[in-house]
Amino acid sequence: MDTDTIADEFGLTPMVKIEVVIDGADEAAVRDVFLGGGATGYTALTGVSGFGHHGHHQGRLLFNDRASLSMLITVVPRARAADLIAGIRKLLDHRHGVLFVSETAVSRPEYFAAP
Amino acid sequence: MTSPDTGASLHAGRSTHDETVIDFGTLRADVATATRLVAPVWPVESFVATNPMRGFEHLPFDTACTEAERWFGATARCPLPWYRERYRAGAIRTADLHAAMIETDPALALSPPVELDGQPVDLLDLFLIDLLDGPEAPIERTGDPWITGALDHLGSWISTYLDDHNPLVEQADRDRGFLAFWRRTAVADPRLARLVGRGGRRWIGSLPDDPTAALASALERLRVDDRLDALRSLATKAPGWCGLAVWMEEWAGSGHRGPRVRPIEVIGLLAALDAAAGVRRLSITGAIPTGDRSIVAERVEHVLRVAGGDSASAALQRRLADLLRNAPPRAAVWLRAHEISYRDRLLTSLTPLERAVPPDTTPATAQLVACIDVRSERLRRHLEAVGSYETFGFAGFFGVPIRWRPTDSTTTEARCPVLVTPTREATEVPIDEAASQRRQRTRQGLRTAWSAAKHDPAAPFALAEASGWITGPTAAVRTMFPRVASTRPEQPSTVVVDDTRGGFTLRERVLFAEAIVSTIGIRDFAPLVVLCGHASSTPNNAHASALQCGACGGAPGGDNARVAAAILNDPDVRATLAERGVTVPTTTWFVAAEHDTTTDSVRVLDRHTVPPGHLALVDTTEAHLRVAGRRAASERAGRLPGTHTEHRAHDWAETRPEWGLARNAAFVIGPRSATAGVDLGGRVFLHSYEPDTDPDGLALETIMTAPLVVAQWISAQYYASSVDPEVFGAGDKLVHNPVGRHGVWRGQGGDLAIGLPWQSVATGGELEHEPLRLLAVVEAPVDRVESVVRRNDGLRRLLDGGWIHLAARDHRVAPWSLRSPGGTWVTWHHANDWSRSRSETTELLEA
Repeated sequence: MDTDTIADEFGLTPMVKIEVVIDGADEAAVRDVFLGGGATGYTALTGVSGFGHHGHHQGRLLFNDRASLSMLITVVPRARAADLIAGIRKLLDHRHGVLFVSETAVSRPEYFAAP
Repeated sequence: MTSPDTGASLHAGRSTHDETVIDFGTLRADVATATRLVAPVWPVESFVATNPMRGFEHLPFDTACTEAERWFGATARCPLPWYRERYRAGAIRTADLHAAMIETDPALALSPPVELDGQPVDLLDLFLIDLLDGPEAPIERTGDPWITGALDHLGSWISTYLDDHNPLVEQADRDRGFLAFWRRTAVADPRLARLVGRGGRRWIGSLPDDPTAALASALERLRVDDRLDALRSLATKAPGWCGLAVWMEEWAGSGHRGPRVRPIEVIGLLAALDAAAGVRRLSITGAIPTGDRSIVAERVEHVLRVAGGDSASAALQRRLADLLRNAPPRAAVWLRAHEISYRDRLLTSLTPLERAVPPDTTPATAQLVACIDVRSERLRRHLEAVGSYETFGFAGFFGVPIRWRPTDSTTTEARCPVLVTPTREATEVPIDEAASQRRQRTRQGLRTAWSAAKHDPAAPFALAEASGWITGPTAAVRTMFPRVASTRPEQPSTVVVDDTRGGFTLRERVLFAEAIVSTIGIRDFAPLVVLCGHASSTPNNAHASALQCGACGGAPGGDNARVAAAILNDPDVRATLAERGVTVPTTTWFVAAEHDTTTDSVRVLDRHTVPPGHLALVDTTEAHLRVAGRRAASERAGRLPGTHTEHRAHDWAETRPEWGLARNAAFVIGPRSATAGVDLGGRVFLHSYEPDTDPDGLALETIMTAPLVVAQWISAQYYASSVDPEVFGAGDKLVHNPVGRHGVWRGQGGDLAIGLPWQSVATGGELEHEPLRLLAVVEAPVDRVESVVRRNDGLRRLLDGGWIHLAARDHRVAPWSLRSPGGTWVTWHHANDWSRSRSETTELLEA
């Protein structure tokens, strides 16, 4: 079942989910692109650990909240997604990190679209 | 994927409007990338040391220097005459220069000798001639009055906007943001017309309120080819204001009260000025310094003249020219030689055969845990010499990240390193709450009245008339008798750290207590453990917070010591700790103290909470701390010009109350036995670590990813403020003017000054600080050290890039090893031990 079908079947609204995993130090840049591009909010998961292109990444350190990875997630209407995705891709030209874009469906569309 | 709004694919063709929108997204991303070149600037009231070349830390240090010089128009190393003077003074030796040449240019060391007058001559010897007295390239720094005017304009309007009492700025302006406020209001500013002409001013007035749209319009008018480079040029023209905006955006958090300015607004204003004036001056980089390479012919001529090769063939002259053109900048070789000299002296002093004092095995009557700050080293050394004391080093916030709420205060302050975000409060509660509330009401009333009178446009003159009778004599007393004027009675209080007032749960308190004990590896507790924070007495000093405890966010450290002592004395915490295998004897009492680094006096805090049975021991320890403090102050006074240390602490005209962390050079991680009895000259951060109690390396990881990183920020700031006091430092304190709580101007306006004042690193024209990169020295299994480095990207970048040098040894009698970029470890040899023979040099390089 694709997202539009799910949305229709359950009375939800299709949206685009954008997830970025990036150095904790670059969190502000991602937030700026999100909010400047019309996202009404985001979720930040700090101290993310994992293994990838640059080897193993530690989770949270005892006295350094900035050295680990963060994951920022936002959901926007499709019409606004292009601006955000272009901005994040541009950011990643100069930074480590990964971007995931997927379709999703939400129950309260007004939460995700500024008037 | 299709859009219900447009029916088009996300990646298919878009309308013109969509393309504009997408351009805004990438423009915001480019602004974020451009402002990475600028280090965050903390407000001067909570000064935090940062590396002004932080934006280049992903690059190797030498490349970063070239880039920083290009973008900031700075010099990133000391001038050649300074290094040559250090050579003549014996601080750098010829052996150090040889070692530095081999390390910085291995190809040079491997090149076959050349023939001069029929004799083979080593290329290293020819390069040495050039290093020692070859001609210098002139350093030209030309100012552009228009750029100065533009920065004055920026400073004037930002400072107006950030002044939360300024009646010119209305709430609607705050809602729209700084750039909108400026373009709406500055259209009436005649100074703007003088800068960009009346037409330019009108154009600025027509810009949109949205900063991204305004910046896009300015860039379009400027017709820039490389947008990112243009944005970088704009950001690096005002590292002070842009850095403050970066701090507001990235570090201040939601707890910051008061107006904010965003980096895109600072860049937007400068771009708008450039565009309005019609000439690109701010959005292009300055001239790229050519340095050593601009005078290669003169250098070759000099080398041949000194080496006796006046009749050298044209081919040899060309070869020498190639050699000098491709060699690293001479200042880079000198810097490395200076570092090698210090490293060799330090490692030699920490080698057991060189040690004069055997380790003391007598049980300690008391233990002192001091901050890792270099200023603690003297106090610890002298205290250990006075009596049977064991001392430890730990970050001065004692591992407890708090928001501190002092008595009588309605607000809290973060008291921990800026790398940590405090979530819990510690509250100071007066013993006599009723009296305290009366004082609070009186103070609050006076403060409100004073503030109202100061900010009402009509009242300042009346205020001067009304208060002059008291402020005049007070000022006279303060000038003539500084110590009398600064004496204030202390009100006894306690600290509440549990969750009854927003503090820590029992579980959290236990974890913090365990972290303190396990990180420093304390095994046997003495009857008294002094947790000693530090503070600096320095009145009338805009940069006072730079002298306070960096681990406490630029605040005095005594309160953190009180909080840690309260946690460690808590019977519930101790009972839970015991269940987890950490037993603190019931006979042990933790007492807080504060070391005044201006006078080297130590004050015991919360004496009223000390059990009667411990009072005698507290008195004895305090007496011994007085003796140790006097000796430390006497040792330190020799390096301070002028008056006695005690007088400096109270003199409000003193520009140099103490040297702070000047001369800091190394960070030692290991048991005190690695350094005990060695005079480290107040130049070394000392962090306690017991390798035996940390087999998985977690404590080592904590130390290397937080205190070591903060120490590198401090080291880099002292370095940069010394090598270029005008660009990377705040310059001469005598011309400073405070700009609200944000920083200082040099003179009447312009960019906010960054870094340390000249008086913090030098006396007159003589540098007190020796600008070296930080040397980390670890006593722990080398494979454990490397494992910590490999699993922490940020730390690895600093080490691989040469921003920090690292030496380690497995245990006290093992040889020292040095880490090379990439993670290769080689055995340390003193530069004097290196043979100059070609075969041995080759062998060394291959190793």
